[in-house]
Amino acid sequence: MIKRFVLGIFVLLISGIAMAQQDGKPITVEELQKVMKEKTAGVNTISCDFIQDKHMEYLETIITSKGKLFFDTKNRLRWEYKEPFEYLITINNGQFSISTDGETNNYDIESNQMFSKISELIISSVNGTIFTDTNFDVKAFEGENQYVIYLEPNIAELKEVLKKIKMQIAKKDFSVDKVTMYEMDDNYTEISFINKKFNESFSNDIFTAK
Amino acid sequence: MRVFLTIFLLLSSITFSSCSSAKKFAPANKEIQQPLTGGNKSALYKAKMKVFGNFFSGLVLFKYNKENNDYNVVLLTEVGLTLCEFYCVNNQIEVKKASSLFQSKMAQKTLAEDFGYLIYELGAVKKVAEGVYKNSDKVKYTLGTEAKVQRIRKRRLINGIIVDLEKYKQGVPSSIKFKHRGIKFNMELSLLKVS
Repeated sequence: MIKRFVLGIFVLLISGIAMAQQDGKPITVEELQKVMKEKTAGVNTISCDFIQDKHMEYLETIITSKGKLFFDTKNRLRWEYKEPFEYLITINNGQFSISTDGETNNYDIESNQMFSKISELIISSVNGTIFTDTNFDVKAFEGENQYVIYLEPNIAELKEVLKKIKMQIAKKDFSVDKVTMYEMDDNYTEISFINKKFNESFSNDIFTAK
Repeated sequence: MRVFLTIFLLLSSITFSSCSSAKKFAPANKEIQQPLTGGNKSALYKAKMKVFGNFFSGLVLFKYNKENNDYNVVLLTEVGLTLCEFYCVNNQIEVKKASSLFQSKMAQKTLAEDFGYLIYELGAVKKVAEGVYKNSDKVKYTLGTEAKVQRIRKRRLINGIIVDLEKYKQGVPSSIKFKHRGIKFNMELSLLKVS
């Protein structure tokens, strides 16, 4: 029994070390925050395509959806799914809107705690400041080509929905390459951001759900 | 007295046997299958729901496991969060797990029942009109071309339901519309992917 226990601890330690080594050397959040702030100071807008894969492990199923994302430093966001369904989220001037199949629901972020949290989560995931969010315990690692950040929720509302978030930030342009959200079971959602364009000018209309 | 008893027993046996035969339906017609048949491994639908005038949307995945002849039905948001998961085996559907965002027991029960209409094996059915069959739970199935189910109807004072199924593609309907009677809840499913 004791042998098994010691073996279990050993396996856990080894796997922990292996994971840390794979992600790179541990760094402090303050260090990462400082580098990110310096390197992204000149970025005012981001647009990109995204591919979202929802993995349901025990059902051996992956649901893939694709879309486009626009973001600017006024914290305005357009998150638009185009395949295999159409679904649009916009965050603009204190309003969170969801539009699909000709129906639009608007939510006031200030007066709605849940949408305020969702809005914060989306914006900070896109602009890479999520690791300064006090709602999460953060661990950061520096690899050869990327930074890897693990965020574990420390408030009940988020804990019930999410186990952890893994964020991969590219060193070449300090933008978010991939966000993986792990749910309480084996399910996880991986969102990859590709074809990134920086500092393109957008029309204001792009941040309005129609 | 003896004559009375004999007549009573004779009448009773006739009455009971006729009752039991009335309950017994003709054997299942093999041409009739549930709308989401086990021939496909999975079907993904976009869901639109109107509940008491409020609009909601999401995705619904029906996953069939041939080995155990069971189904998992997962309701999730477009952004990928699992809201509720149902498990169905032997025509019994139950909630397997539900997120803290989807805790309404009434909503879970209503959805479980709605999804059940699509995946329950039909069992013994009897013909009640041309192209219309009824099972022992008094659910009526109207068949369209190629013996595919076009309409499912359950009459009830509260929570009666009509399900319209259209445009079959790869063996499953592309459009499924649930209209409830007695509760303000309607749902439309549009097929996204089948495999």
